[in-house]
Amino acid sequence: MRYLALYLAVGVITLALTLLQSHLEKKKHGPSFSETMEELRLQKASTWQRIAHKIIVPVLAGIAIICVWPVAIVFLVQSVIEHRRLAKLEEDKKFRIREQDLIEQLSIDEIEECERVDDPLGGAPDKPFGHLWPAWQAYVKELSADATLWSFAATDDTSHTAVRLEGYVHFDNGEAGSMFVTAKVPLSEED
Amino acid sequence: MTAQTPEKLTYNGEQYAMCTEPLSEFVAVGGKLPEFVWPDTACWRGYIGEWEITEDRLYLVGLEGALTDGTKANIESVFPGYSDRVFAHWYSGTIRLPQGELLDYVHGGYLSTYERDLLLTFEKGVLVGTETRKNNRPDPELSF
Repeated sequence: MRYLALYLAVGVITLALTLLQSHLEKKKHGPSFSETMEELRLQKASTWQRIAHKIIVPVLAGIAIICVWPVAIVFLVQSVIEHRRLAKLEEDKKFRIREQDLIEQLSIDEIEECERVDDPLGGAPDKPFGHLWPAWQAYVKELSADATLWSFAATDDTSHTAVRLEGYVHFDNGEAGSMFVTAKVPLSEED
Repeated sequence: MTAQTPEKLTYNGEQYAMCTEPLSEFVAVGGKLPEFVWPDTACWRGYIGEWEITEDRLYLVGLEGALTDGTKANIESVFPGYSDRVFAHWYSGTIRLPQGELLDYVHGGYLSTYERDLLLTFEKGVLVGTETRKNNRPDPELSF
């Protein structure tokens, strides 16, 4: 009896770890496309289907995890390894500005002078980057006092649609830091 | 994805349906939108913008939708202090305005093909080029 209680206690811990891992993944990446689709489908589903999906299925899955936790642990470990692999792949694939994309080194004052938006019909604030002024302020706030900024124009072909990117980037010792994008145009539109 | 309800654009006194969403570009370059309610799968973005071109500049002149806090959305929900018009200075790219007969209906996004497309190219919200593209009926063997 004591062994059974111990076995089930490990099952409960495994269930808690599984829920925690799922919660952390959702917090990090948001709901997946299939989860969003499922949520929309459920909005139109009957009450019984909603109860089955929201209560019965999770409870049965929880009981299954507690009962056969060694299998659940294998799935949990596999899932963690897979998420780490995908995160690394994503990081390697990420678009980065290269030295040849840089155009001109500029001070913050020079950038703000040349990006001032002037609309004769008063449809934008008379400030650098107009309606994007708060975004620019937030970007500048993150920079160190001696940060070097460059204007850039580059092609980001890391996703299935290549895009032309323009903007400003913090670039130091051959390393690109954060960037402020002012134009993002799919290249298919420019053919 | 279901075929999407288009935005509206008034250009040279005529109203067109737009197969482009300039507010998506606003988000892409760092702007923020409030949270809209999805009315249905035909409007994933949750709002319908009304645009016009005046003196070769693209303006947002209307916005319909509902916010997640239950209030009705308007231009000021996105651009506080601007109730009549907003200059879309963040937008660079090509706006596609379909015209003429529907040649091929595709139940997704803005993928349907019409007889012609009027293509308006903008740089930082200013109209820099127009072009009319004539489309052919897609080869049914290549359709998906």
